[in-house]
Amino acid sequence: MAKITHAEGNLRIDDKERVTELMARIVDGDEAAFFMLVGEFDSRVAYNVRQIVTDMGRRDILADEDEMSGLVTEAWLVIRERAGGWSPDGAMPWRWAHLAIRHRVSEAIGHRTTPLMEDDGVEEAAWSPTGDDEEALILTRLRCGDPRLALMLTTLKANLSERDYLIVVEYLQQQSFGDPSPSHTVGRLYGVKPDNVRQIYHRARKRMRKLVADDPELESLRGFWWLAA
Amino acid sequence: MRAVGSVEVDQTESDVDLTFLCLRMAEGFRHRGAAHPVAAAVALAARGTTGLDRAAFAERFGRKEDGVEAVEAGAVAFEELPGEVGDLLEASGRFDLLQLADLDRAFRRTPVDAVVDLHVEGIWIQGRLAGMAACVGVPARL
Repeated sequence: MAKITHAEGNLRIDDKERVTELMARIVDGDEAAFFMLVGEFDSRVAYNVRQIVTDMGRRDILADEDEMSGLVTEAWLVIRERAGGWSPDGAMPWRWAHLAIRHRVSEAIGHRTTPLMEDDGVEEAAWSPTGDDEEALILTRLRCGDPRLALMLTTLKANLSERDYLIVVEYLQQQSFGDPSPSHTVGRLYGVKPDNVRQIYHRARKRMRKLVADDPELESLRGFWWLAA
Repeated sequence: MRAVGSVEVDQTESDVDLTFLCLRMAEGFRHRGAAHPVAAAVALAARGTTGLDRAAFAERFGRKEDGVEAVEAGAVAFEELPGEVGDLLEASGRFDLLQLADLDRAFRRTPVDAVVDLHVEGIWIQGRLAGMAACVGVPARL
């Protein structure tokens, strides 16, 4: 049955409680809890992996049940490996480990960049990921089909300290995962207080608005969703 | 990103290969020195299918809790596993017991040093970005 969902927003409270309980037991050494977690939530991880493979344009893999089974299994291994770093305050484990899962999937299938999916009628943006793999993955995940986002992030990177840039991008990413408290998640990752995370994030937006207003070369960013008041 | 209020199914049918998960778990136990790593992984998988913690599982099957713990720690050989372990895994229909038995035999025949698989065991800590973790463990010996 279809559900109304916003990222993980449709998860029941008891789902989160159950995941929290099982993750704690896994970290505590009860490996049987890992099989319980898999048994109860595998459909969600499978969905996420299918989304990743779809984003990569690999319909050949999507159609191969054995391949998909292997990728979903790898995703679970990623979650198990990182269980000790997960916090119940953030996104669900399969969302929290999204980048790592995506990286494992791309390694497994030899991800290629496909300019167009053949018959979906969606034109690929002019920009495609290059350079540092980690950042490329973040940019791909946040892209939302809008090429202006790449320009925005490039401009941010040129105008912020490295730490502030990473904090802003991470904040955006956690928001996109439906994290109810991205400032806390990001704060934990970077050893920064949540208030400071919010300050860095809003200062970056303010700075971008000024840059966009003053620089004709950034005209295409005027009205961009991230800069709207 | 999906719009707020969009209607879609955020789940799909289960795809995971539970036998492979069991095998990988057994590899880890083997590198940590468990006497019967495959048996340990299989026992944990079996209890996992029930959703029960160790105490409740022991009570359900008329065992002592420390006996269940010993089995899950790899103290009991594969062929001597309690009957309920095999029954539970068979009933789930998602584990290939023959493949697991084969692995157990292979592990018994091959010393740990000779295993040519690189499996990094260690402690994963949160890395620089969400989903990026750094392993501070020690690579398994080849």
